[in-house]
Amino acid sequence: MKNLFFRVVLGLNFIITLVLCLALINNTKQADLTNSVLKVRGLVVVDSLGVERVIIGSPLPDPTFHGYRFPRGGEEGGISGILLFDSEGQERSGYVTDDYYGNVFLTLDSKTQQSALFIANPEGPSALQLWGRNGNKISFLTSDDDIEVLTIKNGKIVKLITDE
Amino acid sequence: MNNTNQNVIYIVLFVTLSLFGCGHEDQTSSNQLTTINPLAYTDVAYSSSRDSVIVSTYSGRIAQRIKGQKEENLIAQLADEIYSLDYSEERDEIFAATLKSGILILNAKTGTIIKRLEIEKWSTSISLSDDENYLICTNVSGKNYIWNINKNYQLIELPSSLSNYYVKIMDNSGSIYFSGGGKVVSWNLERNLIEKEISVPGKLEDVDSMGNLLLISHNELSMFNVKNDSVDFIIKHPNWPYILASGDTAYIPPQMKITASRFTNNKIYSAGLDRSIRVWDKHNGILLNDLLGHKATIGSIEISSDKKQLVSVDLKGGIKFWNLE
Repeated sequence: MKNLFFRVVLGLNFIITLVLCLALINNTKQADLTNSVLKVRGLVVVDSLGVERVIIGSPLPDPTFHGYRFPRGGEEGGISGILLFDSEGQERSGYVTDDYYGNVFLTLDSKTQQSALFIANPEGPSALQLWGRNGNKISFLTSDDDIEVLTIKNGKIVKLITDE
Repeated sequence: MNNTNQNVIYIVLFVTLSLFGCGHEDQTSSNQLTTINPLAYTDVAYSSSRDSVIVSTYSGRIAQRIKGQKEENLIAQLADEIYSLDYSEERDEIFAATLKSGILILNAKTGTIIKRLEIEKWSTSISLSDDENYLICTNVSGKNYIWNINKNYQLIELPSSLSNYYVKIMDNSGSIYFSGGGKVVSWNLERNLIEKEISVPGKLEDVDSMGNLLLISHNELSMFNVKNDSVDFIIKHPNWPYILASGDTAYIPPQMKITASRFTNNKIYSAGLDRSIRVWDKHNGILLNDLLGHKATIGSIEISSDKKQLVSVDLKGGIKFWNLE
């Protein structure tokens, strides 16, 4: 009786072992996700050296700048979308929506400042702004009631003829 | 039931239980989004008179780098971002400014955390006074901290008139230099006296033994002569020495931002986004030499105590030791 019991246990163990071995072999095959929908909070693309180059996330983390982190915009400054980083890991562009006010915007940054901003307000107004150093700036703004083109060279407004 | 059967059962059970732990390799990462570049060196400090330094990274690494040795000697791996560090030779201790843990003091041999100094928010700079008796930093909101190390890190109360300035450097004479709002202020700690208040074109970067000031404003480097009470010269990196795939160097026009600069007795060294270090004559601002070879933005430079060597680190984990003439 005792011998029979051990034989049954042994048999069951062989079956379980076989199933687990087959499962293990099957699991080594690369998962085919071509027909799947991925639902994630974040996705990071790194280069061959492990530097993060593209981040898709919600919310996105605060940026770093030449060696230190700084807040992206206060308590209500959370953003979600896509960030691009250069090979030194510095944030150079974002295509995002902000969680508080609801703007959607695209930014292009040099290594030292924001150089271009393309933004749409949730109520309709939109703007395209370009910056250089030394107080150079061009802005194109539209709303339901008006348009505005603002040009600033070396900190001084350059007047343009409008409404003609 | 003989021994052979028992052994077979034990082996099968062992294999079965072992297999339960296999085949569950997680394809995802539980890491939070960080935007950390794990290669980048955030700061560097000499740990001996020459050839040996300590470096820090965003990813919490503190390591020793030795001239001629390719690999790092890991001292500590913190679960925090490190933005700045300094080293006390007398105490054999490392001081690290972190994102979440305040200022950490570590044993340089074992990497063990000895003490933690709390600050509001975080600081991007930490430095020791020349005599290693004081530790100074400013947090990201502009609040200054000066600790007296010999009095168990007692925090020194500063005059309210200094609250708009950022503490930068403490020299051998006991003068503490603050910078901000286009001014440099020198305050004597022992006498609780503001010694100098000078309008300057930039942020304070270094002070020499004569009290002359080195200042950075984006891509401009200024040398302020304290004796003449005027700026002697303003200099810029003349171009960007871009190294082509062929190995040749093309000098292209942009005069890029300067990230760090230091005095020696007769020269000024400046490093920048253009991945170069420029050597200038301290007396007239004439460019003497270009030190090329970094492949990324140079984030920090330091001069050895005997002024005979310069070390530079970059944002791709590059480090170079330069023997100075």
